[in-house]
Amino acid sequence: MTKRFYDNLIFFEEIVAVVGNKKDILKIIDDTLHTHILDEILSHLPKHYHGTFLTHFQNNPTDINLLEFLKKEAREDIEKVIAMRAKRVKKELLTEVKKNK
Amino acid sequence: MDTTLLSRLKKKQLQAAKLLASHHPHAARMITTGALTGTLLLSSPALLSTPSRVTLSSSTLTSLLPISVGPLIPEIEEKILEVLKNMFGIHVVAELDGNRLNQNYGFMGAEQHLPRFPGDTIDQHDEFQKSGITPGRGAWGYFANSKIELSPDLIQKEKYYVAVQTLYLPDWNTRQPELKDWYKWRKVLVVNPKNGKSIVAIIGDAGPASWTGKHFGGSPELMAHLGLNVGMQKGAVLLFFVDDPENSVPLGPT
Repeated sequence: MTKRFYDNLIFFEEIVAVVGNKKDILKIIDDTLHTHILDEILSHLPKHYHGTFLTHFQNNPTDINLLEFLKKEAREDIEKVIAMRAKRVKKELLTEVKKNK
Repeated sequence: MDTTLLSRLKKKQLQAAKLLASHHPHAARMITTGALTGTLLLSSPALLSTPSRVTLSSSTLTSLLPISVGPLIPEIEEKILEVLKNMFGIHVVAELDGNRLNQNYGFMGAEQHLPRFPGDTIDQHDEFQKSGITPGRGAWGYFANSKIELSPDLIQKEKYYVAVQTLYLPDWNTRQPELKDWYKWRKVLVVNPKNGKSIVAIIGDAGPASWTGKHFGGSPELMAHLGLNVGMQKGAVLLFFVDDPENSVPLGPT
């Protein structure tokens, strides 16, 4: 899946362990999770930093400086809120996956 | 079975995209993951509009700037100056006559009006009176010796002034008489990279103090044009000298 600077906070491996090697399902789950994470980040980052953050993220999604920037400028403990949102969304998506089994 | 699962997951994907677009519509147009772009376009017709010149310029500048506000490395400074020259048709430079500021990318905060002549009061300023007027003169004194001598040009100078941290220049103390004259009313271009708004101004005061966390100050009119006179009244800006020996570049919004 796409590498991003917050990967170590979301443990995508848990999804892979349940879904297996179904790339189309993994891709949609990855996209959906990423959208939620972005929503969480932007909700806690002052609006005047949004353009800067998104531009730098698009240029290099794996840049660790992005996380350092968020830790400095976000209103909340950004690692904690990302992890919590990821946990909730993963649970919701895996529930859908498990309905099929 | 997988087809049904895919449908349900796609529905979740679309719901997530709509949520993001509804919470952050301004940001949603910048997001370009493959499936996400299509989904966002479907959920938000406003995203189909053509970006304006201002949007393109702010996007270009933002992509060049470092993620943290601070002094620019030479390579980035050079690229930004090129972009600004092409964008505004103004010859902007970081170094002029061997002089340069400590940084050209920093936080600008709101300043009050400056007294333009002895006896100037806030009610004699035509705009943004709520910003108030400084109790003392600016670093370069009054703009005119009397109200009668206050010309339209001097009115413009006070309207569109910036404060820069001359006091922290490494050679300020050793070259002060010369540098003080050089910096007085020196023409600059100020750009808000977040929205692309820009303005030509003059250096009219010294400061702010480093403990404020800000690197420049802007007059009420200047901050208003740049869109920085809201909230904390502070924002990151680019500020460069305008190389204008003929004095042909007018002050004010570009």
